[in-house]
Amino acid sequence: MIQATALTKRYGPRLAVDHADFTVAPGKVTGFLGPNGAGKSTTMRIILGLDRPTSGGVTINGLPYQKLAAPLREVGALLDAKAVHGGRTAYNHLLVLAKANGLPRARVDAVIDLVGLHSVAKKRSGGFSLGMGQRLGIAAALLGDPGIVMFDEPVNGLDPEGILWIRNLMKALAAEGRTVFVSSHLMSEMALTADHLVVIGLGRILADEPMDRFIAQNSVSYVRVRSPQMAELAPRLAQRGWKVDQQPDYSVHVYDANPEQIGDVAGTEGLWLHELTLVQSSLEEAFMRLTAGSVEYHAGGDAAGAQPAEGQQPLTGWGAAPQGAPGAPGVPGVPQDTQQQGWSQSQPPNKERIQ
Amino acid sequence: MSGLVEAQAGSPNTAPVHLGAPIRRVTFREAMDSELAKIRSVRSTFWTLLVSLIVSVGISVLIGAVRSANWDTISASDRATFDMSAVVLGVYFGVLVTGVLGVLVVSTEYGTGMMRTSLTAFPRRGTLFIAKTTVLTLVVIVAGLVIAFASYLLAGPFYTKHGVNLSLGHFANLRALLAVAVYLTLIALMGLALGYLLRHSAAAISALVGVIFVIPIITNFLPGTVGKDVNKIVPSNAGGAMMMTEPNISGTPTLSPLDGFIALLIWTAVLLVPAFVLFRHRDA
Repeated sequence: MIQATALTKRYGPRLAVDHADFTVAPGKVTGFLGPNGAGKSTTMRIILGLDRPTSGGVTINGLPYQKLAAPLREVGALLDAKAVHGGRTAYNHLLVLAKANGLPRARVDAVIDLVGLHSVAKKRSGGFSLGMGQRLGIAAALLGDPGIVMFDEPVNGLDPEGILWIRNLMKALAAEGRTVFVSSHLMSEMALTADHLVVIGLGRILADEPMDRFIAQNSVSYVRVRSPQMAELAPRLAQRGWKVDQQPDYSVHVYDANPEQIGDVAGTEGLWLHELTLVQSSLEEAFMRLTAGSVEYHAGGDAAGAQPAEGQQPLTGWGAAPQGAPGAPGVPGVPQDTQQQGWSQSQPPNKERIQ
Repeated sequence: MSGLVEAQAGSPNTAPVHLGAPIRRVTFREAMDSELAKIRSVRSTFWTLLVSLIVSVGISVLIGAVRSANWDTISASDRATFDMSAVVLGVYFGVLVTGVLGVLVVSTEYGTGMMRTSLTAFPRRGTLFIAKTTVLTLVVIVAGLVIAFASYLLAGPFYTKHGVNLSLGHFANLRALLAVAVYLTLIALMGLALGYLLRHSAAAISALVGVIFVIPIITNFLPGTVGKDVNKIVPSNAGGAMMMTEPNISGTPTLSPLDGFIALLIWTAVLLVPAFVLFRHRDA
């Protein structure tokens, strides 16, 4: 169990984490989702006692990290797979950590076998590929057989096999009753692994709820309608109490109605339809909408989805966003996963970010 | 891939070693074990110690051999400066390399990010700091004793055959040899402190070179008795004084061996105490 209370971290004028309250419970995978620079890594570093919070605090099983009797036996963390001395062999790296917590040498062999690094255990880790480094980091995290595991962006840069392996591992760990806390900037990744979701944007917790509820509340759908007689059709749709959104491309988006109902209206009135499409917005879009006001770096104006108009909306209003906001679903015509990484590419590579 | 299969099959708990024992609070002992395993498991430790040995002993032997071969051309007043500190002359240069070892045990942890991993495994920073300091001290003391006695055995004969008294029965001679280990250790601790303060290998090594080699050059230019007094207490000269059998024997004014030790101890503390405080309070 990880519990953060009014957790705040300030770097100069910038609030990296802003009064964050959340709880990570055992027995499930909790996804920690936010754009780059949202404060995910900072929060995880504070949980591990690496950074000091400016105010507020976080406890692990009721204690601050520094007070844990044998930290590796309670928390296993993979923050940065490269955070090893490259001149040390994988085996020795794990041995150093094992000794720090009085763990038996046999445990080192056990985790090496578990992550499948046996053949390179006596090789210096400096020559490891990203995937091997990630496995070494996970071996270190599991060394003390901890009840809580934390992974920061564990699938970044991994090949499909490695990604699958980590997903299955996290699910298996949670199934054993462990607390699994994993950060990501990809909603699609979280949708596959997480049971619970904590969403952070610009340091603030934007959502903390079960994944299925998040999906139910955020998979917005609408019907895209084109008609040569829109001037007549639109008012009639609006009369039914449906929200009708005029789009720049002369189509309209109709909310709260299904295609059959709209088709029936058009048919009854004898109006031509050129398009009647049910558009289901993806979770990735829901996430983008949720964090729209909190993305740290936007790309230039044309980056799809990076600057939806609802940026002005209060962040807490996201649940109601589709009803109120013009153009709420964001990206006309490309509603599905093709757009999912639009905002993650929006960060200029040369800007320093605080994670 | 076996990892994949095992993970799919389900459970890290199926790992053959269980940790059923109740969680016991980790202590200084575990921090020491871990730090010792760290320093032993990287090659830079071996190489810096070997280079320090070669430089220290090699230069001592070289100078001893040259002096011995040209003994007749050396003036009586110069010969009078030859005591145990002349026999271990190479240590003045070898000290930089053990100092670098001190820097590296810390700065490489910052450079690689290992420090965060270390602190996750052992978050009680004060204890970890003291453990690392203790391990470095033990390693360099042993290396320093090897360097001191190797110099004595290999370079000493060039002096004894011309009648210089290097008998270890003479306390000042034994003290000078032990002072070699103490000097190397304190400079290594200054390197360690600089590693903590600057968290960057190149910066900390540069600072160490400044402390050992550049400061004495500058203070050498200071005028008058004040200048001489200041020059006496800079780290390398204070360390040099420790290794002399009596003060001023080299012809330039020096502290007594005890005062040299105290001066060097203060220098070390001046760097180590802020390093300790900052390490405990800074974000890693």
